[in-house]
Formats: sequence, structure tokens, C-alpha cells
Amino acid sequence: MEWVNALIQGILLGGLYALLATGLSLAFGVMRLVNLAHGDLIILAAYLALVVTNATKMNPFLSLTVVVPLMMVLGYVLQRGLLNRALRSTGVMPPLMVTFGLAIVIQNLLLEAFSADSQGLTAGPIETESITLNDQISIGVLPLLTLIVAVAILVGLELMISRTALGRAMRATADDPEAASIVGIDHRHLYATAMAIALATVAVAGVFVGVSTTFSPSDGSQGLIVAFEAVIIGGLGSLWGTLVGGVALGVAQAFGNQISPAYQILAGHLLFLAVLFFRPTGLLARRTQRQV
Amino acid sequence: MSLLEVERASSFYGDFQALYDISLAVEEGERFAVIGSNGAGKSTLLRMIAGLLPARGGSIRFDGRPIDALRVHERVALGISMVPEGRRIFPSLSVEENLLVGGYRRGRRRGWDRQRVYDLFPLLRDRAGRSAAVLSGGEQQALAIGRALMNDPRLLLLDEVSLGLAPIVIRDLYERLPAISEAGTTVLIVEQNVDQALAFADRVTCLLEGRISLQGRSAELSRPAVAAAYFGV
Repeated sequence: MEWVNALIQGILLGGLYALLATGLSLAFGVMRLVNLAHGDLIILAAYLALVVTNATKMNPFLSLTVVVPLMMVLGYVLQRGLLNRALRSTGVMPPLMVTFGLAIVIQNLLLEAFSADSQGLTAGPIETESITLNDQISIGVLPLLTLIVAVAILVGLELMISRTALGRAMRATADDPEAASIVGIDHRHLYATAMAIALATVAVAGVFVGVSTTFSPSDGSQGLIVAFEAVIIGGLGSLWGTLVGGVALGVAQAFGNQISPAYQILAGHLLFLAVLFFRPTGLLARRTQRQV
Repeated sequence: MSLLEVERASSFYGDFQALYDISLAVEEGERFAVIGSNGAGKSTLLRMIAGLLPARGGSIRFDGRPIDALRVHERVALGISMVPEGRRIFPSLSVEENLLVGGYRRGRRRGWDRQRVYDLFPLLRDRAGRSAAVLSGGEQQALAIGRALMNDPRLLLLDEVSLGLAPIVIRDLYERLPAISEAGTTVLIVEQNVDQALAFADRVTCLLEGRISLQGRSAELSRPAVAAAYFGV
């Protein structure tokens, strides 16, 4: 029964991890951009939510009505003004260097503005409420809500990608940017739109991180590693894969924790390495590959 | 006024000059062919008109309006569609999605649409739900043409339609091209195959090492003259 409990808690934890990874997965899937500032953008969103909740006393979840649009604008401007230029140059290094630099800038700006103290978002009783299934298993309401939100966002994005004209344009551009331009797709605008959507999910992730745990300006790299591992485990460029990867990572950590609390983080990393070793394309690799 | 006017335009790849002072005019509704051997600059010319390569010096006008400063997608919005060399269909999209994405910028133009493309290439209708990656070369070429038509273009640029295809497939494709110009679309093709080009086009321009070596009505050009312009002998 303890293991069943570990499995359930792992799946719930996986919801948070999938949420953390969604924006990274989308940016990679659409424009092959590895965004090393992803974790710091999540922390930035958490701080934005903190500022909004402090100023207005509103519930952190309600603050998303402000934080999501702000992050979307930031995403559009960042992509249009900076990241598109980095992507235009050939080679993988320029985008990595630029987003790495961006990560450092965000981290230090947060440090300057908010100091190194840990902060948290207070959402009220929902943080500790739980549903008791039996004497050994209970499900936290907040983790459950996180999982539901993560699944809803990923399903929504998948539908957008597979069913809408915008999603078609994104897939076409991911296939062949030049051919996309000759059917009339402005990839600079499209990429910026994709980044705006990615940072909308980052905003949601930031608020859920802030409510679930404490955060400080230097925590971005942890979020980046979790997101990265979830994306790789699930398979690059696949949104379903990101959900599966997040849950697999959560379950691995919960099982490690079940053996000994010292092994929680290690177990996640070991799963990541095992996937890289045995199935480097991830558990759910992208359906079709480019044909020569 | 011609639909497309290229005036003394040059183009470079880095320091290498691929086109020298090219001037040509394509009339509305015309079938125009650019011929020439490998490396003569035919594809470069087409890419320059589409906006994929910058023109240096000179100017390009479409419907009387200078389009030099417009980016590729803006030229598409004006009604310039291109079937690129190598077809470049989107492999992770289905056949139908490839067509739909081709209509991304058609705006309010009402001419070519999915039904008419399917009527022109019925095999695409049969394969609508399939991944475009599994199509044969000829089917991919048909799809690339259909995708370009979905923009309902005023000017259709076709780059080496026959490249890498079996003669029977080429013949089949070329039999359908007149239907496109009869529907009112101006067609500019680039072709290595001189016979194919002369049979299709009203007027022909021959490129040789980046310069125009011959220009005229295809009916009035003699074989020796074309051969001389083509090979530069």
C-alpha cells in the first residue's frame, strides 16, 4: 500500500513537473529553441505574482489574470527583439549563449529587487487541504489541482497545434522555415506568438510553484533541470511526451523517496540517464521525422 | 503595364555574382519560361522574385508597385506564389493540411480553392488524409503546385517541376499546367528541359552564366539559336 501511495503522490508531483516543462517543450517543438532562461522565467513569473498579490491582496490564482498577459507580452517582445536574431544565425550556440545570458540577467535583477530571501505565495486553506481515500492514502487538493491544470493546458495546446490554422503554421514552420515563408507565414511573428503562448504557461507554472513551495531568485536552475528532464524523458517536440515525461519523473522521485528520502532527487536523475541511454529519442518521440 | 517587371537586377551569393543586370517583363495571363543549363542562374532569378534572395541594384515591380523592400510573406500576400526547387512540402503535415497551410494568406481572393485543386489533381483528393511524407516524387510535386495555388496567386513561380521525375510523370504534370494559366494565373516556369519549356511557354528567356542570352516568343525561336544561347557556343 505504501508503494501505491508513492505511485499516486508521484503522479501528482508529475503534474507540477509537466507544467514546469510545457513552455520549454513548446519553444523547442516550434522553433527548436533551447531556452536556458526557462527556469528563471518561471521564478520571474512567481515574483510578478508576489508583487500583484502583495499590492492587491488578491488570491495568487486570481493574480494570473495579470501575470499571464504580462508574461505573454514579455514573450512576444523577447522573441521579436532578441531571440529571433539569435535563431537567425546558423549553429546551435548563439541561442544557447543568449538564453544563458538572459537567465543570468533575470536572476540578478530579481536578486537586486527582492533580495535573496525565500518567498512564498499564500493561497489560503487549499494549500493543506486533502482528500482522504483510506487510512494510508490521501490526495492533496493543491497537487491534484496542479495535475488537472497541467493536463488541461497540454490538451489545449495539443488541440491548438493539431487543429487550428495557427497550429498548422507552427508545424509547417518547424518542418521547414523557408518553405513556410513561401506560403506566406511570417516566421518572426509566428515565433513571437509561440513564445507568448509558452510564457503564458510559464506564468501558470510560476504561480503553482510559488504556492506549492518557496522560491528565491537563484531557484531558476532547479526548475530548468526538472523541465529539461521531463522534456527529454518524454521525447523532444511532443506535448504528450512532456506530460508522460513529467509524470515519469515524478513517479521515479516518489519511488526513490519511498526507499529513502535521500534518494528522491537521485532517482529522478537516474531515470533521466536511463532514458538517454536506452531510448534517447524519449518515451514518445515525435510522430514523423523530416524526410530527405 | 506588365504584371512583373524586373529591371537591371543583379544578385549575389556572398561575393559571387549569380545574376548580372537582368531585365524582363511578364504580362498578365502569360506563360513565361526561363531556360538555361545548370548554374545559369534560373533558380536564383526565381528566388529573387519571390524575395528569398535580395536583388542588388535595379528594381522589381509587381503590378506596377516596387516590391524590393517587401519580405517573402508580404509578396505572397500580394499574390506571388512559388513552387520551390525540391518541392519542399511539409512532411509532418497531411496532404490536406499542406493545402490548407498554402491558403494561409489568401485573404479575400476567391479563385483557386481546395476543391479546384483536388479537381486538377484528383490523386491528392484520394490521399488527403495521408502524411505528405509518404507521397511519391510526382505526387509531392502535384502537392507543392496545389499548395502554391491555394494562395490563389496572380503569379505562379514554378522551379524545375520536372527535376528528378520520370518522363511519364513529367508529361502528366505538364498536361495540367495549361489549366492553371487558362484560369487566369500568370505562370513563370524555370526549366532545364528546353522542349518542355518551348512547348508550354508563350515567351522564353534563356540565361547563360547569369546573363540573358536570348529572349523571344517560343514560336519564333529557331532551334540553333536556342542551342547557341543555352550552351553559349
